[in-house]
Amino acid sequence: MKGFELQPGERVEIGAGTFEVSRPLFPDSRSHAWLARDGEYVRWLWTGPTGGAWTELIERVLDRPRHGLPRLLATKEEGGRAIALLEHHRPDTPVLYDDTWRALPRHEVLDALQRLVLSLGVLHESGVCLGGLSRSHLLWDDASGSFYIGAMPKPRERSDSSEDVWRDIKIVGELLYENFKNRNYPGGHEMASLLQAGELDHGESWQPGLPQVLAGCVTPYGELALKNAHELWVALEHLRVEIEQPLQLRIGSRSTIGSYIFRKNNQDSCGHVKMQTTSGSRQVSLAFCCVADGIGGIKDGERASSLAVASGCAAFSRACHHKHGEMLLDSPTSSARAIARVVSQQLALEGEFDPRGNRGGTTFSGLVLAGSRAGIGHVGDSRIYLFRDGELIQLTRDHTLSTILTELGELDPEDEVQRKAAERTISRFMTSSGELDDGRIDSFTLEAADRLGVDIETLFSEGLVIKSGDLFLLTSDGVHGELAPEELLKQVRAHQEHPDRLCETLVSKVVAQMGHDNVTALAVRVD
Amino acid sequence: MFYRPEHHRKEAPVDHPNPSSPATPPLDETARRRLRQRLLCEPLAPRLDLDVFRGWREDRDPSLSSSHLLPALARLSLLKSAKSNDEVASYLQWTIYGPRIYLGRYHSSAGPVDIFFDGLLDHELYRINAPHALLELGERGFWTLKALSRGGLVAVDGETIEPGDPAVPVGNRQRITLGVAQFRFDILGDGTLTSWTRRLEDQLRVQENPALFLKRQGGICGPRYELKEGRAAVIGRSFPRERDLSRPGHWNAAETLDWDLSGLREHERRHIGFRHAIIRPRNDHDWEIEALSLRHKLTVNRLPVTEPKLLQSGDEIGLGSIVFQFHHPNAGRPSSRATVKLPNPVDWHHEQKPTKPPELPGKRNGPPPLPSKREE
Repeated sequence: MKGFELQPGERVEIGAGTFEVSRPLFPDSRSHAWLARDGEYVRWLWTGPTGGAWTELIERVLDRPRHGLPRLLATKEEGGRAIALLEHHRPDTPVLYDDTWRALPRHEVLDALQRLVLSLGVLHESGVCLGGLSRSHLLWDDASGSFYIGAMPKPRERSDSSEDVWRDIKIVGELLYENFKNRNYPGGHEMASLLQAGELDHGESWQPGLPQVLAGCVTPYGELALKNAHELWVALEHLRVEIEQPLQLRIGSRSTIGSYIFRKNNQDSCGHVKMQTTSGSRQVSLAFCCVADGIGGIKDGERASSLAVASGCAAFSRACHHKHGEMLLDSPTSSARAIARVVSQQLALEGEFDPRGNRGGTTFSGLVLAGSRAGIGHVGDSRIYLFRDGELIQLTRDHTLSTILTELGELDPEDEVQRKAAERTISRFMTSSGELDDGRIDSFTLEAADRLGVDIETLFSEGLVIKSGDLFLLTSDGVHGELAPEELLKQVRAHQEHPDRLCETLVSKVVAQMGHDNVTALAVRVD
Repeated sequence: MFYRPEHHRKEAPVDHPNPSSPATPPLDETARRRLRQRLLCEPLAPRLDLDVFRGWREDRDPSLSSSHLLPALARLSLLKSAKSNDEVASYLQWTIYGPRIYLGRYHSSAGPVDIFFDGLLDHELYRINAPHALLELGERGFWTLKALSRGGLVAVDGETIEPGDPAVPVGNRQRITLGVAQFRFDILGDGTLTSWTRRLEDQLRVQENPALFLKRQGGICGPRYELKEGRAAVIGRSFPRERDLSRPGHWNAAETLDWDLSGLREHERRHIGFRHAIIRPRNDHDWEIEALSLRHKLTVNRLPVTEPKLLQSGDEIGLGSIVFQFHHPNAGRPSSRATVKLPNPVDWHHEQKPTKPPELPGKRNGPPPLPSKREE
């Protein structure tokens, strides 16, 4: 493939611009990928043989944005070579030097490799294979923990032969070995004999599922050979299940009328469901917790909040039974919001068909914990907090008039009366007279995302990754409206390992200082 | 075998902050909040099967989201700020398909509006009233704007319009202010009603039986329900069987629906009752409508209906926040009854918002408790 090289400084007219080649993307110039710029635009240029076949193949798979692959912007043929203009991925770091990769936690390694395998699966399903994927084609993005395919010098039509699959995926076995065993990959033949001799079946960093995956990557033949990228993805998933210890959850809760002078009944409700399922070798814990604070006449408020909690828990249980809780595990945030959505529909149903005693409304804050992730769905002024690394982070935003007026710049901080009234006025809640649409069901706030160092899109699509030591706290405004934030933090710090004791202490603190509202707290400790 | 990334960076630094698109500054706070709001507004349904969570199945007719039959007449685009003329994004644009458009929020006491600004941020919506303003395309081809609510700001190019003022002309690309939100008004097509009217007449002409047409953003669109001669029709949206309610026995869920509106867009179906209304023949020729739901409003020509109401061709039927046009092919030209005056608009500014239940006096030294108001 000589003669395809571009030279630094060379100018290429392509697309709507003239790009000056700045450097090869990889040290190995046979990758046929360059970084080029036209003024402020930075792009990639790839080169390949003329005749249309190369161009057609990359057009077929890169015509739209796909994870881990660059998007094709333009192609042309010139001077005996075909040139493609592609979007630039940042950071454009060629793959991994050993220390970084070897130091990565195993679950991140599996995440990254699974994503890479998904990208390869997309290519293969489009009938294209890379004719061998190597490190000189891969970029590493440390921020997202993902690989990007940065070069495709030899794409070709994929045949039915398992060799085509194997050439592209064998790199996965290499990278996996290097991280898990913390040493250089010995090469295919050596690896095959190590596997045959059972050398990997013991030792310090022994992992029972590892030889299985490596065997699939080492040869395209035999019983263990992988037929397609999806099989490799599944094998990696099995390995992940092996290394992940399911998190243990301990839940405590407490709810009371509060001071009998001010309140005749308890309009707050809270509830939780916990489930532990095992499917195959996979053990998963799923849990749902919620707090609801009723609004309306005395009976109606109580009924609305208890109905909301009951139907929220029921909706969660249904999702647990459906395909082993797949929806909850795949998208905990959307699931938590879906539960809130369905709860609001249930309230509307009861309100329409059974209007007597069903005229109330309620706030609703629900937390889904699925495997190692959490999601929240939230309406009203109850709150969900996360206590992590000594900090209490409010994950939800109060839907009160005060929030809106602050936004409008109309809340006078000096005017205590206005502020209190605005704080007590709820701008969004569930009601028995109509159902909320998806857009009105809230979730993580931007402030929480910033404090957690995760971007909001990830929180919405994949949920919040929970870890051992986390404590979630759900409270009605009888708690956070009465206790000063410092007091709340102090109590959480003191009782972070004992959710039951924490809730009990919070509730009794409020009652002792003659709080005016019902008091409810629910805490989940992740171990 | 491994390459040291630092080495590379030294060789050829790439310093541009956002190389894959024309230089754009990092997202400011408002833009981040809009992005978040947009993510929240994406329907949950395609990713998740909500029926699993529900435990019963909704009958969502996909044809209810079909596109418009009439040409677009104009468009409102949310602008970035009071000073900028840049629109925020295409998803914060509202296309106008009819010559008479009520703008604002929905409130059950004021009846439906044609454009309710879903997707705006909470505080922007809070300053929009129900209804807020009326946009109208006159016979002579000019658009005008009228303020409808006290306390809700309406302005054209910065000139405030008071409620009670005569309608003010609005030209192409002029700026309209509603509350704290700024919009640009764009006239689409040739700016006249000629082709719009022709397309409307074509649509109605082929409709041989009396029918209800869904009206979105002021103009009829694809979805319709054809009434069957001599047969009553119940309109609403999917509901479960009685046993799925917490207190069975209190209601009669034996009836089925004739037109299930569950498939409407998220924000449209919000105020539709499960059994909302029934249309039945009054005699050989005429049809009447009656409310079935106690909790959701039924309006005809934007006025509330409490007892059976005789329908005339061209009448606008409001179910909660959305509008249908009743069409009767043998009634000659559509009546122009859809122009009656509206009930008093809801002024959010001075209206008391929902609050916690009344409490015993003396609490928190605050003001007297506000009455609970259920509709948001």
